Amino acid sequence: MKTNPFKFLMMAALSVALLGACKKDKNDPKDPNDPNPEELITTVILHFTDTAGVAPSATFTFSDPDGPGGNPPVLFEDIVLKANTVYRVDIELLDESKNPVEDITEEVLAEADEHLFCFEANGASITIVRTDTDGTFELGLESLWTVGAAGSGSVTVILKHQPDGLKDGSCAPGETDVELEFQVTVQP
Amino acid sequence: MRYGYWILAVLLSTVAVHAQNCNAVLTGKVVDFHDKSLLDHAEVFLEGSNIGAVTDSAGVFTIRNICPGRYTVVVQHIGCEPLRKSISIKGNMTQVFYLEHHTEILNEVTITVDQHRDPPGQKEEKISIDRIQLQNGEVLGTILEALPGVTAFNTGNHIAKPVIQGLHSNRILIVNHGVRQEGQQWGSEHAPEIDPNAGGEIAVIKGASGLRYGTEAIGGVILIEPRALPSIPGVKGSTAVGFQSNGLQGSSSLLLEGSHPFLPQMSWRAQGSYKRGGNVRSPDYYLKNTGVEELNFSLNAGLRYARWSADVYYSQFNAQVGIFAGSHLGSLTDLENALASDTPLVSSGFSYTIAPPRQNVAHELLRVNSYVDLKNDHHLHIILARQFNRREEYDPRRGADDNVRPAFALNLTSYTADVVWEKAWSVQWDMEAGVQYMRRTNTYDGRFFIPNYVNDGVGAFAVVNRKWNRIQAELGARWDSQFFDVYYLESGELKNPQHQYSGLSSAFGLSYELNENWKLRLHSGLAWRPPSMAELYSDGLHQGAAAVEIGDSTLGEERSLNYSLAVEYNKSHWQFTGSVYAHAFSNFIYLQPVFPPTLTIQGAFPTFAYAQDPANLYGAEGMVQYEKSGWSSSLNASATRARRSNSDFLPQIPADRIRWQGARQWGNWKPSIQALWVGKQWRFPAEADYAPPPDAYLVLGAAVEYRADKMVKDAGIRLEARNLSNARYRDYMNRYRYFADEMGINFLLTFYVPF
Repeated sequence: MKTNPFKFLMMAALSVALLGACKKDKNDPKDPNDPNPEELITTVILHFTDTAGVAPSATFTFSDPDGPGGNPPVLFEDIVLKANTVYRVDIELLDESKNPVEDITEEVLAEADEHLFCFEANGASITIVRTDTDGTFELGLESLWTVGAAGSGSVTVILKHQPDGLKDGSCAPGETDVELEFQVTVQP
Repeated sequence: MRYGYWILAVLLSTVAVHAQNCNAVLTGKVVDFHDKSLLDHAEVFLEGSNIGAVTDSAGVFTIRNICPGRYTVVVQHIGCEPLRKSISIKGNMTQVFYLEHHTEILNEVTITVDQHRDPPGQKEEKISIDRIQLQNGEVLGTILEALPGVTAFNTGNHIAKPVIQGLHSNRILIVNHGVRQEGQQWGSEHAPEIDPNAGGEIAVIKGASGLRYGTEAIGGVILIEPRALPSIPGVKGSTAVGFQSNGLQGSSSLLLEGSHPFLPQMSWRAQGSYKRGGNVRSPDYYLKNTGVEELNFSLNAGLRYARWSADVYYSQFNAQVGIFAGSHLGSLTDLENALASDTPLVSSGFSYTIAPPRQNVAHELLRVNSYVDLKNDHHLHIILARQFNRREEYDPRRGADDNVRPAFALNLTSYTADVVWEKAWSVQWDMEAGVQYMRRTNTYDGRFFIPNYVNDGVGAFAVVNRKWNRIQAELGARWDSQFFDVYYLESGELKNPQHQYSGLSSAFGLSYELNENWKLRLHSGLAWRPPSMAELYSDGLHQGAAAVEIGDSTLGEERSLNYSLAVEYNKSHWQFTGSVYAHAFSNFIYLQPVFPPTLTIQGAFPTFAYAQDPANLYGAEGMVQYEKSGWSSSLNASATRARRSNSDFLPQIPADRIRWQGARQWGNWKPSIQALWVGKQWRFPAEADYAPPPDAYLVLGAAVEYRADKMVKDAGIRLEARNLSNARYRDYMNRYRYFADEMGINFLLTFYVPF
């Protein structure tokens, strides 16, 4: 029995036919994608306004423009406040890894029923209450910070993502999107 | 399927082939290997066909009407282990088969001697097709756990990576249908993308080996063998159905195969399987989002002639696996809260829904395999293959598209070409040598995890085998060179570093039969592997692990010296095997904690950087079995120790374990019971883990199996209960151990019916 080269060709033709049905990688390895295409929160800005209009307004920022890992955060400011003052605080969230910069605050607001800000003051005499709601539960993009005597300590700002009906008004459920421990100095 | 079959038939019938005379005759004798007595009533048959014969009182058999071609001859005799031997039948021929005593161990993983590839220095252990048929719905890693010394590194129940001699992932080589599996093998949460129903038997060689297949086989090689194509005209098939009570998982597989009615040299097979399972339950609660869905199929068609054979194999693996919701974390505080709680922080009932976090895995293999017998007993084996692997990871995110667009995806396309030349000069001397070429291209979409790269590799090997009367020796060497072209963006700028790695692997094996009861095996070898892309370039937050991992692009090749010594004893009702092994790495790659932790917007995360240091792994395994008049009892145990630079322990080393099994064969029925004890792993690097390893545990199981008849391809039913006492336990080698208990009681029912 002689080996027939046509049979080999036939097998090859068959395999090429099958090859055509194969899945393909649509990317070019030499042209890598933007490493951060999905939404990131890179920046948290706290806007402080004195409700009595006496103390000057102030903003304090955390910023890590390339996201977790890579380069360390470029900005993590200490909060400096006046004693015996009631501040209204607005939180602004940005994705600075994109060009143009994306405003995440809008998205959190649009999905208010899946988000909750929590505040934990430690050391300094500060009482924080959320002043906005999603209709059922509080949200925390806006809050009132009642600052007491001079001193120092910290405030941890936490944003919880609580989708699928997890949100129950408490901080426990869900995943943490933001957790920043700001150092606070209250000046006399 | 008939439709496809006819297309194939028409396609291939157009080839001008001479109808072959199927009138070859194979005659011979079956002889006891030890006392050289002639064995009567031994069954001799050609695998994949119904052609066979039974030896007469003089041990002689005659098989007629064989179409010329290459076959695997299976020889079976009561009290002996079945022998499988590949032979080429060109015309009438005579062959003597030597059978060895029974060495089937209790868990029914049949240990057979493959005359072709069994390395003398290492025992090859196998899981037979019948075993796999009655484990429908189970993943490869779980099936392999039946073998002594093989454990699994789990991420829940559906993601299991095999662990051999304490090594896994990039240090284990998986060869599927003769092609090395190219998947995203770096992370712990990535299991081999293989449907166990698609192949034939599975063989495991523990220890550094597999020179023929490539580097990275430091811990061992897992071979998913192709199943022989049928060689008799007509269509037949089989179906298997499985059900698991925990997770309400249903699974089924269907296989059809046949040969051309007028051209039996041409045969084909089509196979498919599907499974779906929901949330599994530990004794006290359901684990949210732990469902699975899998759809796989394979097609195989081939031609077989006296002097050559060729076949085309195509397979597709598609899985969707839920990642336990309680294991996905946003910050270190989330992790601390989860660790502090005895029960998962997310609760649920039963559901089949798979929501983010989940992974989607697709793997495709196209392989052309041809085998040519040249003059003077030279053989040429050529394998060409293309693989495509896509892995998508979906994370819960803000926005509605978290279930549509993956957080990141990886696409790995691999081409491999293997040419192997085999030559047997005599029964004493044979040799195989070959060359290998591969090209791998990996790209990502979405979040950065590993960079894009193009990898070209070439390898060449040679293995010489020499047999004396009681001694068999093997000596082999392999040289490889790998080139990596890496592409990624850093602050919008394209970076293109390049890496070149090369190295020599070698193996020496020896087996020595002291007498008919005792056998010694010795193996030593040199192994290496290039660092993986994750080890070189990962940089970022590992969401599931709540840790930042940082690669090191200056890492060099990992090299190790490997030794093993085994002793086997076999006499009447007793069987014993014991082995010790050691791996001495001059530059083991591992994750080392870095201080201070990385500050991110989600808080500070523990940070680990890949580092390279000398490390030693060593261990022992043993198995003892007693079998008499239908009763059998076996005990096997394994222990591994691993230290780096003679100081700290290495993480993720399986704890010591002992397994006992007892069974009774009653005609066609076989009930059995099993107990597995796993110790507490107290040898672990303290600063590199979030929580101490879980306590020791004992799990019990029981099964009853019915086989309709003694022949290989017969119907069977198996009912099994796992974790009979519904024990609460956690295993050190399961990534979910931080968050939840292992699965509670689970009943498994499987039917297998050939038709």
